Amino acid sequence: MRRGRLMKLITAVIRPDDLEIARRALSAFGAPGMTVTPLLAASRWNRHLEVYRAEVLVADLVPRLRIDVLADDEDVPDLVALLARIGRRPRGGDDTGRVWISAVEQVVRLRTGERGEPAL
Amino acid sequence: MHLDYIPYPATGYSSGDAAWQLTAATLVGLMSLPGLAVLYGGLVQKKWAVNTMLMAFSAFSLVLIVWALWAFNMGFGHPWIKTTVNGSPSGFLGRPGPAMGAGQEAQADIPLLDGLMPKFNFSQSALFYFQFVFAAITPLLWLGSVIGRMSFKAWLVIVPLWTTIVYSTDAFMLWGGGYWAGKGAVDYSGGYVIHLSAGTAGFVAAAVIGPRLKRDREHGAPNNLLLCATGAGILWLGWNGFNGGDPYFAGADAAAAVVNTNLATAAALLVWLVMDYALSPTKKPTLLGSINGMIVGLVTITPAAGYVNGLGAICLGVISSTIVWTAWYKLSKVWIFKKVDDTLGVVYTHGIAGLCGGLLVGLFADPNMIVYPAGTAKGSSAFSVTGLFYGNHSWHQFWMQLFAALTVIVWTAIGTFVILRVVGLFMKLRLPDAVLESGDLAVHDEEVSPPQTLVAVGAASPPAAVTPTAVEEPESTASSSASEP
Repeated sequence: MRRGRLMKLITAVIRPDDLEIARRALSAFGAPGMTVTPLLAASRWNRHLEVYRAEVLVADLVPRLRIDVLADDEDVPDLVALLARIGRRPRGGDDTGRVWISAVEQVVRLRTGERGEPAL
Repeated sequence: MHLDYIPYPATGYSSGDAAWQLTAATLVGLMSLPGLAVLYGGLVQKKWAVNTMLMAFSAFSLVLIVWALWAFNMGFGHPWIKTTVNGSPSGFLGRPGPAMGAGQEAQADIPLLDGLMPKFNFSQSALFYFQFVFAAITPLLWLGSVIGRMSFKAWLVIVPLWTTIVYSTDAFMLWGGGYWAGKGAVDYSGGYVIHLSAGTAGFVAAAVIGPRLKRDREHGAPNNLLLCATGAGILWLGWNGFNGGDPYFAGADAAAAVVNTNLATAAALLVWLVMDYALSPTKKPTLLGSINGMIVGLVTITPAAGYVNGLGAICLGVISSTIVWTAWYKLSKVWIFKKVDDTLGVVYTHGIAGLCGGLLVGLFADPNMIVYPAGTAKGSSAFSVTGLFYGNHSWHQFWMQLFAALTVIVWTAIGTFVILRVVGLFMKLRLPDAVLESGDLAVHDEEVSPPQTLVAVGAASPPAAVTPTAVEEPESTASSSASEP
């Protein structure tokens, strides 16, 4: 069984308003593609208040976007630096997100059946 | 003979009046459907939107059938038990009877008002339908107090009873020429009959039925502010028919009532906005707060619309919005107002606002705002109302307004309480907690935004036929079918 080079899954959870800049950066870098998923995130810094008809409510689960990028091992440091930079802009104390890296055992491109690095 | 009246009788008919009456009635109907349906549907938690809207649609239908079969004549027909007030025939409730015959095409008539106001210039059908949309919106208003836990089945039983017993009586006493009309208390288009009554009924019903789930009560966030704005906007402009239709003539007082309605509403909305800015805990203006203010303005000008002048209308909006804002923030924290779970706060925006408007008629009514010229009855004079600040500086009108209000509150509270308790003997008024957990899905098998992943019954069984063979043979597939270099 042929093994490709090492591959990683880079996952970033970002603020929805950072998507545009993240996409531009990834595309300028030449990342092959990405998966974007809307989700709800909770963290210590994410709480805010909402008021409906004088009733004050706490929102501690807030909408965030998750970006998953499959990358060749050697691109990982650059991609992570890129994504990490996006969340560095100050945003009034709000949690701007996280980036993490996971090892990927195998990748199969469904259309062609290619495996490993060619499937990225 | 009613055929004399078709299509255009020689006398006693104005196509302008008739057209306006049907148009005004339709505007008021739109306030219920879709106005209140989507305002309330948007204000409740997502899991109650379907239930809320269906309660609105079903009540509208129920009231129309009841109205045609017997209730219209209980509100606007001949008195069931004749009494006299100030020497004129009077009563407390009309004799029930159908309003569906061909006679509905004859000239409209409210028996006890004969001679006291000019004869109607349109048919009984127009009067019937105009009054129906008012009868229909009233239970829809107090629906706002009981949603989020009331049994749908019980709602279907209670609405016809409530229209028959409570609404008809309130309407007859003030509009059908009954007791309080004879005494001189006035309600231009429903500050008492509709709003004070809805606020009272909703509050009593909320108390009798019991509260929502504790969790829902603590964080009942609305599900769609766009729909709230849509419904609220329909309410405001629909109110042009609500207050503009009540003189029954497309004349000067109707136009004045429409302008006053908008003046009071704009003032009340802005006052609520400013109060939110200045005094609310977060010091921020809110859309839903402003909508509350808007409703307060609409409600408070309703009993007064054609009796006050423009300045009076603005004063009513400012005073009532200040009072109701304060009640919303302060009164809601104390006593039974804290205890009773009035879901959307109908007792404030309709009950208190309607009461304020009715009482303020006694202060701000301007006798120069003439509703009708002198009628045909002996001694009748041009009809207008004189408040404390105009004319003879008398509190008389204020006391009449107060006593009529107390009658409406007491009668509505007792009637609602008894109806609910009696129906409660035969069925549960409040849904079981397990049903309240899931709301619409448990009650109706529907949800307000159905997931697009639903599949046909039977199609969701495990995919036994699919075998993962392709995945098991990687190398050959990859090399043979790879089309890219």
